[in-house]
Amino acid sequence: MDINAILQMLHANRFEAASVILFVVGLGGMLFNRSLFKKVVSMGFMDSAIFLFLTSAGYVEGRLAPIIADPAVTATMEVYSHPLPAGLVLTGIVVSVSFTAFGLALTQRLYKKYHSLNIDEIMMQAQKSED
Amino acid sequence: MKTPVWYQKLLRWTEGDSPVLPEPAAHREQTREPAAEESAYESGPGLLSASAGRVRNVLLRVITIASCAVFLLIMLATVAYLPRFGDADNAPENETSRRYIEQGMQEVGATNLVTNIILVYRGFDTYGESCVLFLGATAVIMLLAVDAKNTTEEDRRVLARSDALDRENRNQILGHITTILMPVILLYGLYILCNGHLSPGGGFAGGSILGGALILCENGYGVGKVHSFFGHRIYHVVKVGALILYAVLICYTIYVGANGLPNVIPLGKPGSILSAGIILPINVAVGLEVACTMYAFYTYFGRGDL
Amino acid sequence: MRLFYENYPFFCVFISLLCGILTTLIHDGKKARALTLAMLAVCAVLNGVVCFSTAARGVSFTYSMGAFPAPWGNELRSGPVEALLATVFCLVMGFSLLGGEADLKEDILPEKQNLYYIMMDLLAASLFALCFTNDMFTGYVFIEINTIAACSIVMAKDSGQTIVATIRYLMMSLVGSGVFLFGVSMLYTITGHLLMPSLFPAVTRLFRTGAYQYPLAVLAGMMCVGLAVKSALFPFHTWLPTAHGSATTASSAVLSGVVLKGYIILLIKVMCRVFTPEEIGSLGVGSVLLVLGACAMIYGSIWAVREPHAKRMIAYSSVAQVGYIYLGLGLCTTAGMAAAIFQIIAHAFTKPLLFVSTGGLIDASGHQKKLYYLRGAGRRCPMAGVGFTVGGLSMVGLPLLAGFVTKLVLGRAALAEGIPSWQMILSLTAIAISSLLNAWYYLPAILQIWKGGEAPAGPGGEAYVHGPYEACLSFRIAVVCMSVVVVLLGCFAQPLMELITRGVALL
Repeated sequence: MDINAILQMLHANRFEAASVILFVVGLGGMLFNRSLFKKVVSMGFMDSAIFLFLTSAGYVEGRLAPIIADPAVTATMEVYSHPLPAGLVLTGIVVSVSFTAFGLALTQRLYKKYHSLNIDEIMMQAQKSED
Repeated sequence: MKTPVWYQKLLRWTEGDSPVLPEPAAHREQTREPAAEESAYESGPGLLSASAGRVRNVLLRVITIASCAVFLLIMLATVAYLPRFGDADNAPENETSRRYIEQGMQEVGATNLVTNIILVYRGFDTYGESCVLFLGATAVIMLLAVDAKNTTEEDRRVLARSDALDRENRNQILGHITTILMPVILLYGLYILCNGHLSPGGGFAGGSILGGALILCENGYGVGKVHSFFGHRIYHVVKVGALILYAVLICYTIYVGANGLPNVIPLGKPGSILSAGIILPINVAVGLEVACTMYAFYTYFGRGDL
Repeated sequence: MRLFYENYPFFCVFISLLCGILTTLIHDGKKARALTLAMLAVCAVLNGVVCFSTAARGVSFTYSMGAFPAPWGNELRSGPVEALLATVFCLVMGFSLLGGEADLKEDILPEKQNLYYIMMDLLAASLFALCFTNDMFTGYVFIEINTIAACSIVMAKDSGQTIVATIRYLMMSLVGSGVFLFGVSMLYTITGHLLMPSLFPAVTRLFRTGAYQYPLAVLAGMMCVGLAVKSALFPFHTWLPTAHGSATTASSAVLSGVVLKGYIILLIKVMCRVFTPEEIGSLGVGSVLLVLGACAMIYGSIWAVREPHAKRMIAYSSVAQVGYIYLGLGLCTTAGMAAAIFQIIAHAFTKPLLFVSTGGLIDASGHQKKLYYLRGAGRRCPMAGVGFTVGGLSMVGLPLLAGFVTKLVLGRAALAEGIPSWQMILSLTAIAISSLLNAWYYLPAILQIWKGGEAPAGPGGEAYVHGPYEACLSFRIAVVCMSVVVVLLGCFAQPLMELITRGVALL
């Protein structure tokens, strides 16, 4: 593919492209931020990016959300968009909530103990108090 | 070149160096004490001089930036090769989606096709997911529940004082508004919870709303109000009961389905409230569990107890 | 009508989940512990039955979780290898809990003991699910259960250091599972499936037609990297030594013996049941895994040599041992897979044996963790000393012990026909160097614990050791059982290797 075709595809797949960028922002945030709190937030970024990607995989131009309006009419595939990705996103969101809570709980304990959110400083103090 | 003081402060703040919450003075003294002397036998790694450490940090930073950039480029290129967004003939347009859409309602019974998938077709996944939530709550309790290791006498005194203050100066406005809002929120939560098979919603969404109602109750009526009807015992019984009910329903469905036995739970007429077999009871169970978990997150973070 | 034993994998997953949930209501640590051990015993028996039945018939089976089969509903699948690994996991977890009992009572407050066992139960459930799953997304969900449970058993000791170790572990794990889930999502976008039986033909078709070659390579890499981060392959291992080295004994044993392997099993499934090993090799992912595995074998050992801390030394040795597994996988042949699976089993018994015995040695030396203070600990607690010696010698690769067989089968897999010569040379060199380095740090440690004379005193001249040490019964049972298994694996490896080879063909 030449560069023009790639740019065109990126434009067409702009939601996927955005999700990829968000994912890398989250990843970078996790690697660069020294603050534990911001690391937890970056974690949320990464998860949301994946949800955006999955949701856009389920979208089909011009189709309705997969909830049958009238049970009497037989549903056909041409009317509704793909329901599976929505289910996966729901699962992912719940997992992400649990992890955020867990990460924040750890952060709170560390803050209580070391009075800092900076991971380097916390690690230094923990190293010192060892043994 | 000297960087302005405010900039340094800002940097320190964004890096998490300066405290966000005011800390008790006694603690500050304690942590500033010099740590125990290094053992004479210690000759481990980590003896880099300060400048070597700085060089290493910069190098690490550059490497990380470069790898993030490369990763981004690779991923963007991948996106360009993926199927076009929104096309009708993309790969997910296959027999799987077809069956979910065209036969889902007849086979499973809910008009909300996503609910069909998460609670019946892929019910095992979703049970795993509620176990993640259960585990998350357990881990938070393990960390934050008040015990001898994580709470000092000072902490207990501070908490008791703030509780007493809270009891003396009840916020009247918040209390009244809570009284007005509470029935509406509860009704809305229950509606979302029980209509999961007919409209967007279900256990996870409805449960969060109910959990929010509990949190509002705690704030509006004061500490201890929720505890008077929702103590440890009830909390555990409701949470465990909901998860066991869910497990029993899903085990029955799986066992019967996998062994080719007849399923005796009626599906009902699609579109009515009492339909879709196991979906409605599962939604109620999930809702209770989620409400308990949300409330537990709130109170354990705040007070280290229910 | 399906055979009744085919229900057992499903029973195992749900028995352990339900035990975990019910343990919330049991506030007595002792009862919770008994329930967990009973659950592990029952699951070991059930999985053993599945293993023997499938091996005797030479079949594998799929079990639809509900009325809907492959492309629509969740599925479990088991053959001899999956059931064998699940059995091994049950046994190892049981032994680790028995062996770490004394430390568990000391490290965890009585009112929080039951929470620890909840985590253990759900860890077991997630490991069974990872062994048996036939579905990528189920794999993801249970990876997450595994992660929370594993992080929780690290932090259970509740000292500052373990919490720091936990948060680092959590961050790395989340990056790993995020990358893995992204890979799965991409796979869904280009194939439209999540279940392995439907993915396999779809991926094969894509390879034949040459469509989506680039995304396929990227997503295969992402899934491998995601799982490699979680199983601590070389450049991503930084979280492992502190997490495994600072946790309580039972947790360290379970983490390095079992938890790391759960992710590797899922990776093996991805390599065999979504792609084929040859396809993974042709995408270049195999070579990367091979090189990283070889680096891990050497790098982990070098750091272990430099480490004064007994438990952290063993944790670094885990990094090296995980390298052996990835070396086998990176060869992308059936023999390589079989060698990797043998190493999973051998390491699953050897490393917990080492951790549990070291826990005993540390207890016998007045809770001093540095190797220096362990001088003569083997004489104070002979059972722990014997366990450490057997485990250490197995790691070095003494014949008639499990570690030797691993090196042998790995070497044989690397020498097989069709392996490029650079891969062969690299593998053999890595095995040789790593064995030498293993000897370099395990032998002095073994000599140190059997040395006679006065127990070493602290920097201020204070004595840490007060009188002889009496190990409790469950500790002795655990050490004896694991030592016996390590010897048995070394002496009678042939039947097991045959079982594994036949099982890999059924994957």
